[in-house]
Amino acid sequence: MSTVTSQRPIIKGVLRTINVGIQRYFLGYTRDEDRKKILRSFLKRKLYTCIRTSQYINSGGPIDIQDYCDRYNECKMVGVYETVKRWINDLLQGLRRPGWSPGHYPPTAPAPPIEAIGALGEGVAGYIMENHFNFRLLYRPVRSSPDAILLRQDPYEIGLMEVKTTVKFPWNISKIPRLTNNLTKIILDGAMTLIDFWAKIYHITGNIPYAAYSIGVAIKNIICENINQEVLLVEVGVMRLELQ
Amino acid sequence: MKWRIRGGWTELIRNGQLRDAVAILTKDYVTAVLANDRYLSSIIFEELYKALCESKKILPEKPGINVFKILELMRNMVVEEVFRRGEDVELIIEDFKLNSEFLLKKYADKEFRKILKEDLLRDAFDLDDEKYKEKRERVLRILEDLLEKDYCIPP
Repeated sequence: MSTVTSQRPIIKGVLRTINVGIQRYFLGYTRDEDRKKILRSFLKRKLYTCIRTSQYINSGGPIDIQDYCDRYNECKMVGVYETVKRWINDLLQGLRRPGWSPGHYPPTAPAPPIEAIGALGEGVAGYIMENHFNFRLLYRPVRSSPDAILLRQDPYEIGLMEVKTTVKFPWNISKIPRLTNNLTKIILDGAMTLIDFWAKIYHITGNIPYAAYSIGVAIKNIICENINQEVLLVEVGVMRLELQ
Repeated sequence: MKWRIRGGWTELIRNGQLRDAVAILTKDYVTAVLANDRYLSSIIFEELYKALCESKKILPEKPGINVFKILELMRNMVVEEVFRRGEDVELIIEDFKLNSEFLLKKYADKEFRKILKEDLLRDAFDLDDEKYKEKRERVLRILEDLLEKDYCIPP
């Protein structure tokens, strides 16, 4: 019984949403490095200056995060949540060595399960898109961009979703390859990937309205609310890109 | 917009409800083509092919000669849907032809190369090119013979 409940955490956290309208000519700005810099600085400026809406995420009850991970991840990974939880426990509580304070990340620390962190992030992003934006999964491309193609009927829209995940707790996590604790950076990375992909498909997408969602998921912690229930604390940033 | 992409076939395929999934995929394919969305139409076309293969217990990666049966079935379903909507069939046929060629190239070309010993399949389906007429007729004749024998490459 305890095993089953531990695989079904409550998701809590903060969701920050920002709408950015981009001009059509920006689709061509991923062609070379100089233009990429211009586009990136434009998006960064928008990220800081546009109106951001914040709301709390609270799933209310335990959710089957593995199901979301299975649907939104490229291939099925067994025990995604368990793997990440085990790593967090090892990092913050267990396997301590002399000169290692909790939250610090020395070379002797357990290696981060990058794939599991990515898969958990995609699962959380899927949950957010289904429950906060009323999207449904239309298609999950395999071995190609974007991470998912989503569909919603009201308002009618196809959403291209790109998810980047990070973890927040060890203060020097940015020293680890492929991991960063900077949520802004990963949202911008996702946005750049999406715009690059969008430029490739723009001329063949016809009359159906498209929008691109760059989602940054920061996994903050996994805590025990009571003896049987765990809470997955996250911070999610969603940048919605719309062509003007 | 009169018709909308319905979606939901991913869950249906996951749950094994292939008949419902195929029905929705057919509708969505026609909607995507009529909306001139060739990106979605190519995705849905491939998913429709895979769903039909799964329902007929055929491996999508190794369909053998059954690929023509599947394509014919798809074509009939799609054309029926277009007629039901009262839309122009030409746009659909054009998109169908392009996607069929891609699908044959992706899934069946290698297999047929083994059977025919020559890379002739694309010539056979290059319907506009007179240059390959003879080759095409020969290849189509071989394929028809294979179809009569109900030939299928074992997985």
